Parts: sequence; structure tokens; C-alpha cells
Amino acid sequence: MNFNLVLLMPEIALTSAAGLAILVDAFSPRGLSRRFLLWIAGGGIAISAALALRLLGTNTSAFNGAIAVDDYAVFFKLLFLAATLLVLLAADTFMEETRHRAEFVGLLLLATTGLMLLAAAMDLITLYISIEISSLSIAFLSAWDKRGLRSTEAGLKYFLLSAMSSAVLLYGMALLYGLTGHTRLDLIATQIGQGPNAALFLALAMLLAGFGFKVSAVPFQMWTPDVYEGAPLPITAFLSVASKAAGFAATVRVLQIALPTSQTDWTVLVAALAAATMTVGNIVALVQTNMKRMLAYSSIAQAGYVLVGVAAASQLGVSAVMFYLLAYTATNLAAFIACIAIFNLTDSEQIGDLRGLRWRSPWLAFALAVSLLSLAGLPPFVGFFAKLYVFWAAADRGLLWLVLVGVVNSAVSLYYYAQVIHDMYITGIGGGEPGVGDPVTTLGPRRPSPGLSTALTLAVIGVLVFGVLSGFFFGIGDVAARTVAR
Amino acid sequence: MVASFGPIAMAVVIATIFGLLPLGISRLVAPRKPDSVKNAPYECGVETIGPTMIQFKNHFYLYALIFVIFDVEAVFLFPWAVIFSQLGTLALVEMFVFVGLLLVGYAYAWRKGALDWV
Amino acid sequence: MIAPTEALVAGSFYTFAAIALAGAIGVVLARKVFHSALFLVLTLASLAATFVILGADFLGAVQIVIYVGAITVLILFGIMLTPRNVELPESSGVGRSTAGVFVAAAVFIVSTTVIVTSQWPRSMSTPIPDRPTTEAIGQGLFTTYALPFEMASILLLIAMIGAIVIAREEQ
Repeated sequence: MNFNLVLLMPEIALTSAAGLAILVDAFSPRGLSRRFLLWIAGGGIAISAALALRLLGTNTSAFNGAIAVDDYAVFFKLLFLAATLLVLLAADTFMEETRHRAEFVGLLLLATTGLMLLAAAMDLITLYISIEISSLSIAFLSAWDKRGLRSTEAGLKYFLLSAMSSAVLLYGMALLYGLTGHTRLDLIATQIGQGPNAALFLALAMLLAGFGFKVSAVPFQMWTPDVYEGAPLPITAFLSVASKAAGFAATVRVLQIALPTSQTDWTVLVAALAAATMTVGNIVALVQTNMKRMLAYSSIAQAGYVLVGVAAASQLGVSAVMFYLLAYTATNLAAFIACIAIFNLTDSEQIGDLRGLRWRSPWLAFALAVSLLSLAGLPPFVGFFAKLYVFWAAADRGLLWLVLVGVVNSAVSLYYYAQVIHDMYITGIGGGEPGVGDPVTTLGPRRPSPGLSTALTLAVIGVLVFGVLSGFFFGIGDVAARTVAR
Repeated sequence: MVASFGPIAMAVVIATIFGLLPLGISRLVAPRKPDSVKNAPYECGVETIGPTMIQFKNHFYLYALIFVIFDVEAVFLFPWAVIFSQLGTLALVEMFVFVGLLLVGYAYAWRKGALDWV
Repeated sequence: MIAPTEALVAGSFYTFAAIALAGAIGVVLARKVFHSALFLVLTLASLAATFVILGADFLGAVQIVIYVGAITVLILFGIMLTPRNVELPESSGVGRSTAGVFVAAAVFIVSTTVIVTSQWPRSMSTPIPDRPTTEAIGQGLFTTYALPFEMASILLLIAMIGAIVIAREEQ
């Protein structure tokens, strides 16, 4: 038996930080201050990241094959930890207002632990429990504002639909186990015979449906706009980047290791999902007037682009997916954090109310513009390179029609991203620069807090640096991708 | 092995009969003359004031939930007890970690007053 | 010629399976949520019996202890705590129930076809080993699946903390 705890230290560190935050807060007479909680969480994340970094190049499996400790997993673990840190910093104002700060921090850290295990899971049972860990904590976090109807609705909706999708996923896993007699991904691959098998196809479809929920791929995206709109914004940001990236990490690992394309051809299935997801997400995003819902549909469309890379089913495809998720995490975090700051300022989530933002808050307008242009995939931002790699991987496998769909979709998406930028930069109220005393120039009471500003700066720097050094970061992903891709 | 569940099956059958038989007999034999007084919710005592379907305390739910969680934990203890002598220290440590994590939740529930009756 | 015990086992399996199905239909069709919950108990208990008949004795016991016992209590408390005597609306539209029946039928047909037509490595005629499963489950749980076992504890911890935050009344 291989119970080497060193291989599990990143997760243990994070779980301990969560337990510490919750217990110390509960047993201290007046509860912990936000600053102190941030230190605990930040310390936990830093230690966890350092321990994860030490595992680079280990490339082994631990706990009787329950998890893999490979570069692929470490890459995603670091990504989730960074995203969680930014979300925590950006949750400044939110944590000031909520009565349950320590629990918020604790559940967020536990959710991250679940996602880290999900990216590493090599066994169907580990995979399932890590999905449950992350989904359950995200459902609670979405419903955090329990006096608010929309937040409660978001939590309930996410919980019910995630339970439903878990059931489908479990059914698929049961079929896979029945077919092969194994729960370990690598052993499943050895037992799957050649040729078509109806049960295998059904299992594959059910697994894709379960993962499709997690990454909000069409037609499993129904919950996305409502939950994104109702959940507290920091949680929406977390859900849209970390949870989605973990879903993709697990999808790619299961498809690459347990169901290699040489035996089961899922390329067409995933490509169809990708095309539907991109198209539906982009077209519905065109008509949104609420910023959160627009970003929700935009994130659905982004999942479609990632699926293009998954459909490529090659090492190039896996590295493209990894780079895309890195780019998307930085970009979408920048967009959401900018939105948190803007909503704090204006108390409105309508896109129309962003008009003339550049005079009110040039920095926020700039940050949001950069992230939207990157989401649209315009050079020199990182989104452009991410799309380039994904489309390249698909073209390399002869999926030219899919690349065409992707390019057309990118053009469509430019319309609604550019609309927001146009509102912020070109239109003022009344068409020009507002005068002194105009209601637009008065800033709201809640200026961005230091934590929020730091998080936004870091995310924007990420968008710019990953873009400029795209070759370098793609190379990192490429090395790590070798540990899962065949 | 299924055969060893035979007595349990017998008990289930007998219990069902025991429950249904008296009901059936009284239905057949007993005279029934319902009137408005007999059908009233309370045949004695004061008339109820206000709606009877009031909302119960949320605390019931928390108790039930904590009960479920420790019920699940207890279920894990059975296989653990069966193989404990084979695995020894390893099983002991594993169960300590498992219960320890739950104790964090228990301590939290306790401190937050989720177990108090107010 | 089928041995009498085998016939008895098969007969009781199909009886309990039929009760479970009837209960499930009752859950869906009952007008009052409370009645649905009681039908659910029937279904869960019959499922426990089928588990036992299929040779999964430990799972059957777990089904009774956790589902028939604890989860049912939780559901009944949930109903009790809902302010009004909840009665579901007469019907949420013919279209919706037709769609529901259609989807259910499609799922049933697809999964049955697949299960019947597929090649399974262990055929149905392979006898199930006739001994208690608790020990084997313990072995698996504490050696091969030790990590998922500990992760289940994290899951329970999350459920506890989240429920207290969300469900507790505050002054």
C-alpha cells in the first residue's frame, strides 16, 4: 500500500487552514477579524502552493491509484489556488457585510480542496466525491445571502441540478464499472474492448452530461445565468473560473486516460457539444442587458472554445486546453473583479449604467475593457493566443468545420463585448463628457477596497503577462500535458 | 446467506399481519355512526386558536441533519469494527482522521448554539 | 427444474421490486407532499430488501439505517418546517406531464435496450459469492479506497457547517 502523505500535502494544508479558520473563529469570543481570516486563508494557500510546487515532476500515483500526482494535476492545483486567492481578496466588501466570514472562508477553501482533488482524481470514486465536495460547498456559498431571494434561488437551483447531474454521472460510472470491473481510470482503459459497444457509448454520454453540467456546456447550461446572477459576485467569479477549469481538468483526464480515442471515438460527440455551446452562448449573450447574465452566457461560450481543444483529443489539444484555462481564469477573474468594483460604485448591474464609466473611474473602465477584449480574443491579449492554440489543435486533427464555427463565433462575440466598451468609452450621458455636478461624476460611497484593487491589478497583470509570454506559458502546459495525453 | 435473512422476512410478514389484522377486524365488526362532534379535531378541551399548521422551529431540522451526519459516520464504524483486528493501527488512524474531521463540525455546531434549545 | 428455494428467492425479489416501483409511482402521483414522503419510505425499504436478496447484505442494512431511518426523518422534518400544509397544484399543465412521461419512457427504453444488448464481462449466470459482505467492504474502504473514505468526512463536514449557516435562525 502506498500511503505517502507527502503526495497529499497541498490538500491537507488547505483543509487544515479551513478547519483552523472555522474553529478559531467559533472559539474566540468576538470572532475573527476579516484581516486575520485573510492571513489564515492566504497562509494556507501559500503553503499549499509551495507544497504543490515541490511535487512538480513527481509523476506518480498515490493511495492505490486514487489520485495522480503528475504535472498536469499540479498545474491545475496552482491555478485553483491562485484563483481562490484573488477571489478572497476581491471578496473584501462582501466579507465585511456577511455575518459568517469564517465559514465563508472555510467553505471556499474546502471547495478549492475538492477542485484540487478533482483535477488529480484517477479513480471514479475519488472523482465523484471530489465533485460532491466542490458542488456542495459552492451550493452553500451561492445561497450565502440567505435573506436575499435571488441568492437563495441560486443556491437551491445549483444544488438540485448538481444533484441531478451527479446522479447521471454516477449512472455512467456504474456502467463503466460494470463493463470493465475497475474504478481506476488506467485499468478501465485496459479492459475496454475494441469496437462499438452500446453500453460504453451510453456511459460516455452520461459522463459527458455530468461533466457538461460542471463546465456549463450546452445543453446542460440552464442553471448558469440564474446562478451567476443570484450568487454573491465573488462566488460567481469562483464558479466561473475555478469550478469550470476543474470540470475540464477532470473531463480531459477521464477521456484521455480511461477512454482513449483509439478505442472509443468521442471526437464527434465532443465537437458537437463544442459547436452547440459556442453558438448558443454567444447568440444569447447578444441580447443581455444585465452585466452578470451577459458574463454568464459569455462564460458558456468560452466553455465551448475549451471543448474545441478537448475534441482535438491530442497532446496538442490537451496543452491548448490547459493554456486556454489559464488565460480564461485570469481574464474572467479580471472581468468579474472589475464588475464587483463597478457594482459597488454604481449599485447597478445593468450594462446601460456603465455609460461614461471612463470619466468616473478610468482604471476600472480600462481593466474591464482589457478583460473583455481578451475574452473576445483580440491580440495582443492572452485570449487571442488561447483561441489560436485551441483552433490550431482542432485543425491539426482535421476538425476544420469546428474551427470555422469557432472563428465565426468569435466574430459574433466581438459585438457584445465591444458594445460594453463602446458604452464605457464613447457614450457619456448626453453623448459627451459630463460636466461638473452631473450625477454621473459623483462616485458611490464604496470605493474599491485595497484588497479588491490588489486582486484586480493582479488579474489584469495576468491577462497582459500571459499574453506577452504566451509561448512560455504554453510551453509549461505542453510539458505538463504529456503526463495525461497519449 | 440470503437464507439467513429468512427469519427477518418472517418477522416482517408477521408484523404486517399483526398491524393490519386488528384494523381490518374493527373495520368489519365495529359500528360506525359519525356525527359532527365526533369528527371535530378535538372531542374535548378548548377550541384551537389560529391555524394549526404552524411552522415548527428550525432547530428540529438542524438536529435531524446532525443526526443524519452522525448516522452515516456510525455506518462506517461497522465495517471498521469487523476488519479492525486485521488492519490494526492503520485502521485506527484512518478512523481517527475521519472522526476528527467530523469533530471539527461538531465543535462548530456546539459553539454556534445549533444544539441549544431556545 | 428450479429448486424451491431459488423460486422463493426469485419470487421475493420480484415482489419487493414491484413494491418499490409501486411506491415510486406513488411518490410521483401523490397530491400531498407528506404522502409522497411515506411512499418514498416504502420504496426505500423495498430497495433494501432487494439489495439483501441480491447478496449485498451490508448495503441493505445501510439502506435501512440511513435512508429509511435518517433521511426519511430529515424529509419529514423538512415538510413539517414548511410553513403551510403544502399541497401541490392540481397539475402543472398537460404539456409538462406529457413531456415528463415521454422523457421517462425514453430513458427507460434506452437504458433497458443498452443493458440487454450489451456484452457484459460477468454474465448473469455467474453465481454471486454467498457470504457476508461487511468484511470485504471494510477491506476496500480502509485500504484501496482509504482516500475517498477520508474525503467523505470532508463532505460531511461541509454539509454540517453549510447547513448551520443557512438554516439557523438569527435574531
